[in-house]
Amino acid sequence: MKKHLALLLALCMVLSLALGACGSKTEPAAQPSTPSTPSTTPSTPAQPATTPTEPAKTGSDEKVLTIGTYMAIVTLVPWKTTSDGDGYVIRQVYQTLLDMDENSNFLGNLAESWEASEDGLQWTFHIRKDCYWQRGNELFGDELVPVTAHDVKYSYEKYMDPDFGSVRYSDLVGTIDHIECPDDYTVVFYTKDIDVLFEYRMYQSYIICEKMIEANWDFENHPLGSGAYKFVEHKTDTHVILERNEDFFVRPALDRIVYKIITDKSVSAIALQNKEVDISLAILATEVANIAKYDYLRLASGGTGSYRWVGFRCDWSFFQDKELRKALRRAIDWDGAIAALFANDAGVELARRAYSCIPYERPGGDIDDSAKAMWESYDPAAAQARLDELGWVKGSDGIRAKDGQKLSFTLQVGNNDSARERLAVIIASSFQAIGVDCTAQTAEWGTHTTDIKEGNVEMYILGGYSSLDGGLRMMKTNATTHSPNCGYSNPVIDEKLNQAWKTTDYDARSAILRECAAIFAGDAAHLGGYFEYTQMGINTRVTDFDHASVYRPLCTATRNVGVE
Amino acid sequence: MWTYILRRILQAIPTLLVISFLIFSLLYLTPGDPIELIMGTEDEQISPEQRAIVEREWGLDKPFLVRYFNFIFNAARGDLGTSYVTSKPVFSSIMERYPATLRLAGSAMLLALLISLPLGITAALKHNSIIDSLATALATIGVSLPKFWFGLVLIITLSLKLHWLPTTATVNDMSQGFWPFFKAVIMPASSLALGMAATQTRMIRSSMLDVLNQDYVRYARSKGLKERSVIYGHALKNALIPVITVIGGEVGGMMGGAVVTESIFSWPGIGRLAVNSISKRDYPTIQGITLVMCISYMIVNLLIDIIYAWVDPRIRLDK
Repeated sequence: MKKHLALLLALCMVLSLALGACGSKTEPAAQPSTPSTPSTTPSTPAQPATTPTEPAKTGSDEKVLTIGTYMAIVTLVPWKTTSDGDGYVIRQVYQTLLDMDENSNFLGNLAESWEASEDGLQWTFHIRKDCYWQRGNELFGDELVPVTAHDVKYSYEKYMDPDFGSVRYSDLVGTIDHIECPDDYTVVFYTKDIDVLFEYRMYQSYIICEKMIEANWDFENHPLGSGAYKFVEHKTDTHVILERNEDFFVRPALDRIVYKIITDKSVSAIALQNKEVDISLAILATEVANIAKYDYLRLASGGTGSYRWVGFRCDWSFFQDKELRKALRRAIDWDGAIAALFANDAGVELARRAYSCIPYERPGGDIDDSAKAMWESYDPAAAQARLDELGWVKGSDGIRAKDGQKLSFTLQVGNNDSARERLAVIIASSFQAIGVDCTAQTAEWGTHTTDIKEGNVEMYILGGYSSLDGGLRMMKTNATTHSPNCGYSNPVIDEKLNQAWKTTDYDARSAILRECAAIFAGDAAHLGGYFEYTQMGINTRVTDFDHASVYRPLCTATRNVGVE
Repeated sequence: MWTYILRRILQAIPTLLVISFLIFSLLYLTPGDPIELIMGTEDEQISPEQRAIVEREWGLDKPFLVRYFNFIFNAARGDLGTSYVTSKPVFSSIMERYPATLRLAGSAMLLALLISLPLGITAALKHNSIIDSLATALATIGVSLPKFWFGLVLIITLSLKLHWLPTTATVNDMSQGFWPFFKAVIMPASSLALGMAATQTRMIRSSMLDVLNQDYVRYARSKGLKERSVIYGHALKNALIPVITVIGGEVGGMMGGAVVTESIFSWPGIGRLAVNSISKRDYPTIQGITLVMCISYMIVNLLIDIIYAWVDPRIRLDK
């Protein structure tokens, strides 16, 4: 029997050792042997580049920035990506015409300068003459090939081809009429109409070149662009490594960038404390105090608040009554709820109350308190009195009812965020205290978003839409979907939003958006919400990282992130 | 033996067909627009022409049964479809991660057996002693501790406080030698092994106690056989049969990926792929993983039956 036992143990040992010895296949990053066709066709073979390299092993003088990201890489194909996790990497390898700072100001990236015509229908971009396609690969060899206006034109025309499968297709086709290149370094976009977000679109789309497409370049496994850092390897669910592009017009401060994929945010915070990563992208509220106590670490938010809100389905049953929505809003102690959810020993502001649906940092944000003025103070007694006035009186069971219909509904929340789930409980209990039968219900995230979109929820919690067009999408009437505008419609706002989207002057447009947001707040389309400021943990050895964002290029004409 | 194996494989085919139909139907009925998932443009407008192109390319314009039979036909050839999210073949995505899952599972099982076998046997032999009570208590604690909690405790203690081990796995194979692999795998394997070792210890202990009271063990002793020979030559062999059943179930479970452990330790296995796919509603990948899990379970069950016969020659599989 000892033999059997020994065999059993030996079998386990041999199995684990044998499997352990089976290293992944290695593929040189810059020399793809089997390029694949870049298209949406599912037959496109994907060949993982899985060089088993330990990112921690670096020379002592090497400047290596290690970023702990909780987001897995979905795709590295520049026209297919919608995930921030991909963008962190892709933005370093490829260039876009423009960059955007923390205050939503546009900066040159591949474009050195740009201007719009007086009628706003023609945008001219002057391309840098010192940007080159990355060398040291099968496509370009050692040849220094400049990035030209023709590459920009080619990229955008490809993205506007429905067969190409770009995720930006609808955006671009909706706005760009045609593109011309008067010379090698000037590209002119002719738009169908005034598009105040045109610069934003130029910040979203990455520049590729015709030679790559003709060569069926394998963008997934061998990203190749003109950015400051070159792709080295992607080990699935483990790490991505980039290295300095010596031909970039500014010498990048880092020799290498390592993105370590650490799914668990608590573990990522521990890795930051342990100096295994230099940047941890999302510090949990429970970890903030831990990070704050280390003198070699600092906390910083990305700069722009992410809107999280409780929405009424405004076209559903009794929620069509604006006065009812306003009365219910008075029953919620938003300041208390936000303090309960986000208070921390380090005193870091993790969330700020939202009076408007537009982040304070974006054009139209409530910097003049015009939306705040539309809010009544928290007063549950006044809320009850108002409900009584509106005919919603308590029955024998303590639940308010009107015309035989009980004031009863479900507040649905997705299962992706514990703070939102706790908020749902706070709100439901606040309503129950004034005789409103509200049930907080958690749903699987995908089901939740589908339910909202299809109008299957009465009240819901959602987050996002803090981009430049988020306010427009939340406030403007939308007959085809209930997300992110949950059945709210106001012709006055629609008219003003149309006007705002034709106003090229930034300040004038911001003023109109603020006006819209104030009306929206006055109509109580949202029960309320907050802007969440995700904290990033950063080792103090990281330099030139005042804007704590890795979604921007880490090396540009105005920024060159390094390590000491 | 070979006839039995062949019969079991043939029996597995209708089971797999039923399972695949259930998986396919359930995911087909799940709400959500596959076109939006493929285009990655949730909440964005997709033009009708683009929608038509994607539907045609992905075969989404075909009726349910045609799609199901295509899926089965392709799966039989090792093609589990293409991920809606990454546009990569599902089979290659699974196979890319499967070795890492197997390495973790193998290491965890080895560790669990190294703990449970001596502990369980000792507890049974020293019945009602302090060692027995200690082993029972340890087993109870091991079963009760949540894996994610134990994993975090390991990380905080061994990485943050003592700096002995890296927080997350930087390698998952031995391409850089044994020690880097050992340092990477020991924490996740320990986290997984704890619960398994506890279950196995209890099982080995109770099974050994049963066997030790059997007549043939008393007879062996009365014959004057050495105690070691009685324990390892007669008792343990029979005591292992129920233990093998438990181990089989545990191995089968781990083949689908240790979801929590892989996430905490950033282990690039199939469990993380499953979590990512579910959160992104990547139906083809979920389908593929589920199917591979089912097949793994069937293979493990078959192996267990074969091991039964190996451990206990009285069991004849082909009868």
